[in-house]
Amino acid sequence: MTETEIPDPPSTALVVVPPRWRPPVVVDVGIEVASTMTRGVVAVTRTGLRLAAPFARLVVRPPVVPQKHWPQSRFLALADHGRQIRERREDQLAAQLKVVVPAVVGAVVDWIDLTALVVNKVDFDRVIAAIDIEKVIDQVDINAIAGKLDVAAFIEHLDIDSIARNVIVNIDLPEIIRESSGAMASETVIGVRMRGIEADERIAGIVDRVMRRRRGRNSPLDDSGRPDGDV
Amino acid sequence: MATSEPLSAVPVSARPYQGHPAGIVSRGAAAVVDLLLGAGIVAGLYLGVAGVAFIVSPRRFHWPSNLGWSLPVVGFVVAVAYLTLTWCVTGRSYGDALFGLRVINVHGDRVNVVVAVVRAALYVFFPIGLLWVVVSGKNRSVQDIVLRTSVIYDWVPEQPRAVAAAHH
Repeated sequence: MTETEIPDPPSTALVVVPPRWRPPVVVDVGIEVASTMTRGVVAVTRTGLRLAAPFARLVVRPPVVPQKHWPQSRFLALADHGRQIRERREDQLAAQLKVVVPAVVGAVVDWIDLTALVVNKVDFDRVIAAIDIEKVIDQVDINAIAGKLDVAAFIEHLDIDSIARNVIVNIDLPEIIRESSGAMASETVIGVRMRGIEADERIAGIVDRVMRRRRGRNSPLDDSGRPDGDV
Repeated sequence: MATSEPLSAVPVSARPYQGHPAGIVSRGAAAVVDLLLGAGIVAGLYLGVAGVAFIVSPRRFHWPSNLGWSLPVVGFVVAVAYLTLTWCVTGRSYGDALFGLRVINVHGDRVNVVVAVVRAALYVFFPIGLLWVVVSGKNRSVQDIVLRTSVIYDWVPEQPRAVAAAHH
């Protein structure tokens, strides 16, 4: 018998293949002999059945006897009765299992330290690697969870003072105040500047139209804000 | 926790124009303001000279006349000095500041002293060159083309461009 190597399962496989046990050569010889013999017996039986089939048919369905007296009809009636008994027993067994299995499982679970079993035997890294976190998150209704949060209690735990101080330091508040309250940003100045820009735009538009420029001149500069060298 | 977009005091409607070349109306108006300011400075000098003359000899006081070449020369010196100083130090004259404009060089920085002097002299001698802004595709005057400068809308008082360049 040739021996084919079973490739190692990929790391994500759910079935763990234990290391192979190698029996003595005698066992393999025995298996081979048994297998050959079985094949022989099966072949002989199959041939015998093929040869005996016409006779068997003659026996179970005799041509001169009416059908209800055929041995085959009797067999079928027996089989039907047997089936009914089997189904009844199956139903009874299922009913008993419903009672027995939970009791047995409960007892087994009571005996075993399930937590220790999981902790010792489960490779959590692989379990976590197999979970599609994105999919799980998609299925979670974040809004519903957020709705249940006690935001007020949450805020109470925050150090708002230090956060605000950090924010003010980072955004350079004095600079913003200086910018917004300076004379340059007063309402009049803003108005004058905006009128200036509007007038610039209008005149540029007219001239560009007269000169048949396809692109207006106020198209944004490149990222560096650098003016081009051409006219 | 720095945000990508810094807080700005510039109104939303004006933000798209920031950094873009300014048109003829804004620049012309700024020039007029600067012209009036220059005239004011010259008039102030004249009054100062007259005041000194009056204090020195009140009896023989008469308004200075027959100024000859001194008026245009003083006007030229005042204008060039004023424009050079403001363009070098803050990047904008008073008129520019009023209309939210800034003079920058080809790198987007403030112009240096040499460029500022030449630019100021060119504007004083050849103010009509400003009108090329109307025709130019990049809103540039003759002086801008010669010296490779630009005038942009820049309403922020400080110069964020230089600050940003320092970080890069």
